[in-house]
Amino acid sequence: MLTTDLLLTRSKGPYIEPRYIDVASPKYQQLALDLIDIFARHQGRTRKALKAALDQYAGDRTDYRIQRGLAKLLFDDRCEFHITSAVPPTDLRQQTFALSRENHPVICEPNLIYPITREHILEQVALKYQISTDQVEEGLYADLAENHRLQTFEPPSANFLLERYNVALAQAMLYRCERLELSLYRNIPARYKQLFKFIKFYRLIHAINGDLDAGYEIVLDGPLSMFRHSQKYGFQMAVFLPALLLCTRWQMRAEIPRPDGRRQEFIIDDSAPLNSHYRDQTIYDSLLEETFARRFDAAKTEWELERESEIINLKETVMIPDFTFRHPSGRTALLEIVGFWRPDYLRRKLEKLKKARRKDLIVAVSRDLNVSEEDFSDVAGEVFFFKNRIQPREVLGHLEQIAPPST
Amino acid sequence: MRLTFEDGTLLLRDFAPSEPLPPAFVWDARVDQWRAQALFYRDTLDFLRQARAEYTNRAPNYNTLSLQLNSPLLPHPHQQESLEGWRRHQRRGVVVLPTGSGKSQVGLMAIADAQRSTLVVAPTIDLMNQWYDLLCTAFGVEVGLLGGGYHEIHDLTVSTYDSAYLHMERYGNRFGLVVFDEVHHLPGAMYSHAAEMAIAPYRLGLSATPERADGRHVLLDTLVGPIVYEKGIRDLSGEYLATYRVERRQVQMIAEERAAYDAARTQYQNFLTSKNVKLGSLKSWQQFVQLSARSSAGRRAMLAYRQHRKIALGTTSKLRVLEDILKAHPRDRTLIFTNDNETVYEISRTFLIPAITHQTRTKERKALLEDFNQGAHLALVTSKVLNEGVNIPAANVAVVLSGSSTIREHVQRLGRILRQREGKEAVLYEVVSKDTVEDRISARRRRHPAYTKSTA
Repeated sequence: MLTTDLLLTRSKGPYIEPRYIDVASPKYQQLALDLIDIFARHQGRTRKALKAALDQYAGDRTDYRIQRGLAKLLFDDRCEFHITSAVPPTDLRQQTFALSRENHPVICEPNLIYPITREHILEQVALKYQISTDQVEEGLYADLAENHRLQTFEPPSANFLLERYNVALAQAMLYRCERLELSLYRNIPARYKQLFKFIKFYRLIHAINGDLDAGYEIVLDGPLSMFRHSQKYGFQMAVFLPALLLCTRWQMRAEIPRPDGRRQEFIIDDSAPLNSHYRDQTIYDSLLEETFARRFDAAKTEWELERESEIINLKETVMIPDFTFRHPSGRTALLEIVGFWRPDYLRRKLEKLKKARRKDLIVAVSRDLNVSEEDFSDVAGEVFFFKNRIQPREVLGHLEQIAPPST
Repeated sequence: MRLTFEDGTLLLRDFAPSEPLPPAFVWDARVDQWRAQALFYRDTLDFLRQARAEYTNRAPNYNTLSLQLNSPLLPHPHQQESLEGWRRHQRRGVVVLPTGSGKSQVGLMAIADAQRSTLVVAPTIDLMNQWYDLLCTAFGVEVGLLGGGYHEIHDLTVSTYDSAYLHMERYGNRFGLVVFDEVHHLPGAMYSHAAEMAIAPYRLGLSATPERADGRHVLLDTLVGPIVYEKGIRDLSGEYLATYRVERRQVQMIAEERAAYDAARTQYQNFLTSKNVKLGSLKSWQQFVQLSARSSAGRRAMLAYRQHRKIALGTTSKLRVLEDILKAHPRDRTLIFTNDNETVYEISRTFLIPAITHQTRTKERKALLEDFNQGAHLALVTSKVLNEGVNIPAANVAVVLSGSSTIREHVQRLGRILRQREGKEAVLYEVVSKDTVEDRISARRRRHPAYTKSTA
């Protein structure tokens, strides 16, 4: 994560955006390679030495903040530092300071009143531990962060580093964000689920408008946001960004307050030069779904199965059914598969299904689960149980039940 | 209706339209619930009681305690009066007392008086650690820590502002009393969440200097309560605080440093003259910063500017003066302050004096302070971490080798040696490089009344 002082922005009237760097530009490719090289050459050396080398390299260049940003990402994500000392530094300090207390004050040039100098004391400590006085001096504060040594460095490719930097810039912008608006259009359930996993985990609150065909408008902020503007939730919004980048069709609008009280907007969409470093979820949540989708496509029917899903807003949470069905006549229905769930998940799933009150929802429940038909009696829509695999024919039967042709 | 605490706010669940609605609550259409800031918990209860409403209160999750305050000391009159003032204001308010007058003792008395699960919020890890020690000794119970790598909640818990505002949405209902130490930190845009997301009906703020340059201290009234007691440094000095004298030592830079200083100074000044910028205001400083990002010459000038300040604040001649001061006080407890950690460790390595910075681990820090107070160490060198209210009763010599021009910082450093002790005279040395930028920094920080009172 980049700190605010490393965030470079550009304002255009009511809009603000980070100064992204051109990943392909030879200038930045070279910069990234040079920095990675400096890190690689400092394996086994101290953080202080590494920092000094980076400052030296920066010299009087005016793009030093880009350099520092890149270096910060390397420090945070790619480096492992360790303490190296022949004797634990705390022991060395204890010995040394105890001796210096006996001879207080310790001075550099000996005289009649103070015959003992620091050299004498260091020698005594060295003798005790059978090490050199240099090792005593060096070890005394070997546990300070600046004296830690670079144990391992995993060099990324220049491209990876530069792309990561652009995303980190956008994230740093969101630290200051008070409110986030998203437009999402026809994404697959796995991506929506990933988004809402982050929203829930970071205790953000959502408000949703829209539907499957028109797309969704989602406003994100925190519990307190209704009482006062707060940047408290900015960090949560920043960590959420890479998950958004994995979506296919989206736009994001963030309100960024300036120190003078004015507000600017930071807008990005799926055309932004940003690549997520999060791993994309597989298209299907489970083999069960994948098999069903394949078999359904092979079945003879006018119903089309769509991967793009609806978001059912349950206010304090959401439900994202696995499939949408669409008939040429305009009829639609949803399918939720309750496959292999742990008991606590299952309980929550049941509650969601009840709360959703969707009559156009088919629920396919595995017989392997420890539930009975009674448990589903309050669920609107059609519920059926399956063993091993879901038969397209059975789903089609329920489709005609739930969404009959209008007469 | 059912009052619950969720994510730093209050929700009124199962509310029927026929029931009286407490004024702090607003309809939250995002979740279809009535919501209020946790801060208004007490007002809400008052309202519901007056309206004779029927409700279940599931919000609080704190305990009534039976703490015994083991304190050998009788409270000073100003401490007793502070407590009474606070109690008269329904245990909500700010007590203003100078550094060294025993503010923490007032905090302990308030905790013993309220007998509720209590959170103490302090500005730094060091102060958090010190409150931890204090609570352990005063009440002999297990004390929790939230911050500095710790995450344990007990009936008595200590935290930092940084951790408190981050975590209050989870723990805001676990405490009936919150003590905000150095409460002038609280009204910041982010830190104020620590008060807003807590339901604690009892609140105490402690500070020597509650005013803020940005004027936001007016928020304290809502966040904590009004000022319920106030005494200045002159009201208490001599009576409850040790007397002290100030000695100023000017040092000449050695020739090489002087040359490097002058060269750096000429370089950045030439640059600024060429750009028609005269330093002295915030605006001109911003201009300088912008120019330094635009050209290599500007960048060099900025580096030269930093260099010249660094030389002035950390000249080797100062180490010689420090050696003289140490020799002059071979049996005194001496605290040495510098502006940056680098110099702290340089002094520690040179004179083999133990150092405390924000990087010092809790256990070692605690041991060093104890040893210092008991005389097992005679000197300590530190940067900014001991600035605010850390308890070092034994110290009677302070050496300010370099520092920022902030007045508060300096008064608090003075406070360090103002602990009352039988027959103790404290000395504060201020070591300044002659004819440098540091003259001005020093002049600015001495503008406080506590500083003009030199008894020597």
